[in-house]
Amino acid sequence: METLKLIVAGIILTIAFCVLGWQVVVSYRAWFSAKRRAGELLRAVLTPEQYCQLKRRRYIDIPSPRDQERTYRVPRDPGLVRVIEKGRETASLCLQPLEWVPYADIVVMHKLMIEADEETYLQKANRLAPLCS
Amino acid sequence: MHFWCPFSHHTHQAQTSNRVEAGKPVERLEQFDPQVAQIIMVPRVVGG
Repeated sequence: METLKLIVAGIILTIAFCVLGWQVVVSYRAWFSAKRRAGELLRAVLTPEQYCQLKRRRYIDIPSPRDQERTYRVPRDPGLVRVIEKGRETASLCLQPLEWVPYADIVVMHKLMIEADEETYLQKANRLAPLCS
Repeated sequence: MHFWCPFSHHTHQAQTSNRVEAGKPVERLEQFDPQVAQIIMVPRVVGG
């Protein structure tokens, strides 16, 4: 009887590990696929100059559509967006999506929001003192 | 009869939609436009 219980417990544990392992594999594949698609979208949305700048300097400069002397410096990696006015950093902005998205999508999000609706972008972002003053 | 519309579904979730076309400035879309080749939805955002 004891042997039978051990065998059943072993079978249940094996099935549980298999299901867990499968879930890990599926999640990893979904994460990897999302990251790849985000990279493709980023490349499609940025201009060739911006894409080169992002690769070389790890940030992109997005000119303000309303103020010719203002530029937003969006980092490729997690971090604050720097506001540069007349060549001088005047503020840092923090804005993030409520749900997890690949970081390439966050760069696209900043670009689209700045270019399509800068006013809302500035209203939603948390404004902080410049990182380097 | 009511049809489920992905555009309305996402905009009701406070996501914003943008028209992105090569050589044209990015434009925010309030209503679905079937003529637009590419629409990119921006997720809900919050100041960090």
